[in-house]
Amino acid sequence: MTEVIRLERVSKRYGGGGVAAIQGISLVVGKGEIVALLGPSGCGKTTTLRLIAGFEAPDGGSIEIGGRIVANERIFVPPERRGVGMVFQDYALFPHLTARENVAFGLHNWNAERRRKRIEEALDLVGLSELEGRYPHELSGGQQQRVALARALAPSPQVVLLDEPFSNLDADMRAQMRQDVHRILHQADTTAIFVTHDQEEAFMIADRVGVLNQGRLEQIDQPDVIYHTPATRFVARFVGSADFIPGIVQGEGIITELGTFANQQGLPPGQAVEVMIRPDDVELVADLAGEATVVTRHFRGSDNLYCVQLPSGRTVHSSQGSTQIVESGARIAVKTDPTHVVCFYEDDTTR
Amino acid sequence: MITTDQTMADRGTIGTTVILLILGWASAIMLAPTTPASASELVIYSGRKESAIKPVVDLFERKTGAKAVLKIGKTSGLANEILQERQRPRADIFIATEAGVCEVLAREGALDPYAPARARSIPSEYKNSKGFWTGISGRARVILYNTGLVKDEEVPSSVLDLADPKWSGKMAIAGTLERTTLSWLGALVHVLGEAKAKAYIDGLLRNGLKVLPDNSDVWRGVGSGEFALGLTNSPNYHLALKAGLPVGVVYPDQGPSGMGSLVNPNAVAIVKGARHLVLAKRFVDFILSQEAQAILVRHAFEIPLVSGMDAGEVRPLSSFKSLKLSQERLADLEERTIRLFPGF
Amino acid sequence: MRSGMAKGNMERAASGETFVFRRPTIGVLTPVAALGAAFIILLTASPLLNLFVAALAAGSRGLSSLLSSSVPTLLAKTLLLATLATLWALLLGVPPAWILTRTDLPGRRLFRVLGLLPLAIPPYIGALTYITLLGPVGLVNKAYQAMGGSGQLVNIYGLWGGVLVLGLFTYPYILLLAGSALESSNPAMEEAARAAGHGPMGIFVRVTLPLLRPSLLAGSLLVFLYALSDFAAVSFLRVTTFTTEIYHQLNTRFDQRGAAALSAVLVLLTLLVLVAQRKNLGRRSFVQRRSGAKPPTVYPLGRWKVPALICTYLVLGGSVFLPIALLLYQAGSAATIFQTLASGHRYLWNSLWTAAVAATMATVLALFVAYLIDRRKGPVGLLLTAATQLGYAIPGTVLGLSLILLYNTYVPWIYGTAAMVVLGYLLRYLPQAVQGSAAALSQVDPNLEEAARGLGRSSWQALREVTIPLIRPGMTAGWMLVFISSIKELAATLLLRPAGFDTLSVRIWIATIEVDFTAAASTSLILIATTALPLFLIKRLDSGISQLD
Repeated sequence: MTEVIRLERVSKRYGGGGVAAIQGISLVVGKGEIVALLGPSGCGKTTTLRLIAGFEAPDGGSIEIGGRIVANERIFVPPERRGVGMVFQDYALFPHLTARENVAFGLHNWNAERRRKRIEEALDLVGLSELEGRYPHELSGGQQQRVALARALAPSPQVVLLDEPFSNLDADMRAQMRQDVHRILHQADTTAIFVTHDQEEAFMIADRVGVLNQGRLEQIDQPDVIYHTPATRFVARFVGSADFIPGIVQGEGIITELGTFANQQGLPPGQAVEVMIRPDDVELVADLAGEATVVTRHFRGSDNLYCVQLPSGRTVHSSQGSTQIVESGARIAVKTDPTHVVCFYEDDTTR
Repeated sequence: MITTDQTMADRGTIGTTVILLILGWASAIMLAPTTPASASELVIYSGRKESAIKPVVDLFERKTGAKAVLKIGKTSGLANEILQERQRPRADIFIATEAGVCEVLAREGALDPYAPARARSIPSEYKNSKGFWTGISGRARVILYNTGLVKDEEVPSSVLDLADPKWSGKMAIAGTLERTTLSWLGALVHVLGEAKAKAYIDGLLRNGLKVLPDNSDVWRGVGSGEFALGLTNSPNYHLALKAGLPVGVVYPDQGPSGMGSLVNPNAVAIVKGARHLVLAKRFVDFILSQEAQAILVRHAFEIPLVSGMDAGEVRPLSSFKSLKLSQERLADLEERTIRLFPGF
Repeated sequence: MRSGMAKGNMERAASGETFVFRRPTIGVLTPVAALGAAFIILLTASPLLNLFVAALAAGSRGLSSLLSSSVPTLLAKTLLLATLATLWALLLGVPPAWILTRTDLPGRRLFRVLGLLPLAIPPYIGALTYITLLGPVGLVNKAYQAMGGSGQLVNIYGLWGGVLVLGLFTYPYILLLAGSALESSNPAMEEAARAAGHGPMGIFVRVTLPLLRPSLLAGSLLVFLYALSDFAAVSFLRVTTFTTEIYHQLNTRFDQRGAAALSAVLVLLTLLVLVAQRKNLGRRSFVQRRSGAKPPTVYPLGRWKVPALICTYLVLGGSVFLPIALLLYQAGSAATIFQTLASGHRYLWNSLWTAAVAATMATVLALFVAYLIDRRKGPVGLLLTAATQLGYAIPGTVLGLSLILLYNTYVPWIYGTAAMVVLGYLLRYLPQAVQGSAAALSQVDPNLEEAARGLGRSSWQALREVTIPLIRPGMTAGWMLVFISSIKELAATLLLRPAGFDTLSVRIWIATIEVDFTAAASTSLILIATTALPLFLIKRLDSGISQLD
């Protein structure tokens, strides 16, 4: 697959030698791929996006777009010549232009006929052909976003960058728009990178997800890999809930309070590790002779989330279907049998 | 698709720069005509009011066909400017409301001497011995009074009478923005000595003497009855009469032991390094001529200094006792006078 | 392997395409921007620096003249005047602002437009008219005496006259700022207060006033600084302030260093006030994303309609109708006005073109400065802001003096030309243009420019095609403001004008000094005509801005 974006150990500092916003990020995006950069606020995901777009210059490392270096210590290609489309969080539509004129904005060098055709295509793609004469303030949030998307896609950029595209929409709009945007991006066969703090969103739309934490790219992989085999504790906690219970490696198994897990990673015997347990891995059965107790129960609609206290005093969480209810205070037996066993050393590395 | 429009960006920058340059050029062109570089434009700085000096200047323009530009201001302020501009003088002619200023300028070397023929008949205290400045016409310090508020027998005959409490709060004088006041104060210092002069003025101020910005405020105030008495210059009496106001005048201190009324000469001087020297000399000649003097007497009610002028309504020099004081002496006293009377 | 690939890319890049090497930046500025910023800072700060140098060089002489002018008394008087005038302006401006934006007063749109008119009338003309009315030989006293009264009923000369006139002709600043703050505030807060059971008075005190605080502070500052620096009005009204004392020194002493010393004190004072403002207001974000925000609640006046009308009419009357009527009375007849115009068309032209050139230069510079301040925050931006704000701190008299001192020595080819007058206007009113552009610019989402760049426009093109169309109303309003202020300006023009170059304001001054009130009044009317028209245009543009989103 052809590379469209390559970041090579890119770093960026703010305040002239002060806080490091991004440290040594390397990633590759292939043609037609949709990559999500996921992380909490302040993790550097928007900065990464802006570095790719060219609105900031990196302090170290290099950025290549379409095989061409656009930024390193000596070179800096300005944004207008990078061929990168961008959809901003607040859409940034030009208020003094109609939807059509907004979309046409990036096509100013095209000849009239080609331009007209392309505008039609773009508006059609996002389903806004009838509203092309409206001004941005006359459009709803979702419509504005579509115009922003059409505008970014119209010049057929090498890559489209989207900055928290759905955060300004209300919940039901969001669900719809996610699907629409996913469809549009695939239909246009566009390479895209988008930034979000919403894990569900990232998983739903992206082919690969990169998790950022405090300026570092902790893991980039397909969603299920990230979910089932997180590389760090942070990733484990960020994409879904996780508990960690200590264990000792003993040959083929890892001995923990919850039982013995398979030593899938071939860890040396005697090693102390912590095993990641997800709520959906933990099964509860009411058992008067059981050694664990339910501390709290939260009804979440499709499931119940239980907080369970083990004999050692440690708590784990369990997610069970909501048709059955186990009351708090009840004694239970706890069973776990995860398909993937992920262990962490003390220093947060895995192996 | 990358738009490689570096050339477009350059075009934009170049275009904007060109427009800005054109704007700058246009501004420069607009500003050009105002630089007074034309050969036949006489530049006059006048501390005298426009109403007084403009008729003379207009006549000069008509007679000689030359153009003159007038800058009206306060005498001391204009003198300051002349000193400031010494390296590149802008003014050709300086007209001052009293001559002490010209003395100071002469001492600073900012004037060019020129003694016109007509000046020979001017008394020596009203011209500079070396010709640096020449008196044009004079104004006497007088006491103006409101005939409705002051009966004939009450009219004071000396300025020293003004300390009388019966005039409390009813007197006005112009502040030292008016140079005639400043030189009057200097004259007091000369006649009475510093201590007595200060005591006298402080007495007047304690007596409610109102210091106004301008002499016209004084004569209008007296004319309207706001004040009973005003210490001002002789032309203002005539101006007030012309305006139909009920005023009378007294030329103070005329008695045998009296100090006399101070006469302030308006002075004309040529600025050193004047760009239009020939024209300037013609102007000085002109302002002493019969016609110009007639205008000054008729319109501005000033006392002619050259002999042989018909003074009209104005009391000529010979008809009253004037305070004998050279302008050189006044200039010497200037610094001290200013410091003695800060409130003015 | 990595570096090998990199080299291949570079070679590829080097072969066909034009790419740009990293431009060296000075701090966060490009060389061009840095040069421009340096030029502007030099232009605005040099007169003041030179002034301080001259003041310090005055040494003991300057000090003694300072003491002889009894600086503390002067300081007290000037501050008192400024404070009282500000309070008076607040009193005049806040109630009408509220009435005109939050009630259903009939004709309120018209009133809002008319309420700006006092800005077309320079305070010194206002002083003239009130002297005609309330002076010792004014109409009121004449009527009083005609009715048998003795002495004077009123005398406008003095501190209270100064306060009255200054406040009366500067309250529109408060009205404007408070009015627009009231108009654009979120009704949700007031509705919450209503729900909690407060009546209109309570809402006003608890919710509205605190919200108004920034705009009231800004307006008060404008009025206060104006009062500190005013020269012509206070000198007509015989109030002794710093500016009149400086003028006095300039015109009675041969030594300008005393005046320089006084000026330095005055400038320090105004700088203090400015710094206090910055500290107080802090960093506010102006970016309001109005996406169909609800308009604020309008209260029905009911039985308060008549008092409100009276209040508004009184304020308008005192500041617009009465002065103009008095001017017409003084001028005598339309024929007189036309005659003044005919004989003085040269002065009208001088006023117009110097104001226009100054306004244009100010707008261009202001755009540059506002852009740097808004988009590239940092020490340079702060420095630029401070430098351009200097114009607020320098009274006209002082500016005139400093420019003379500086340019006569170092830039003599400009000295003595009308360019000095234009320069004076530019430096004095640049802050207004910068504020107008900065406010307009801050309303523009910075993402818009980035979006444009992402779509293939260079920085310049993005500025031209996106930012400028959006801030054009604000920039034009800024142009008008500088234009109007320049036409009204008197103190600096008096000092800076070359021989034979008088403006309308200078003619009014000369006419007043020479007690030719008819000429003063006619020329005043002509001046007001030139300032009133742009005012109306600004108002139009203002409503245009709010329609843009």
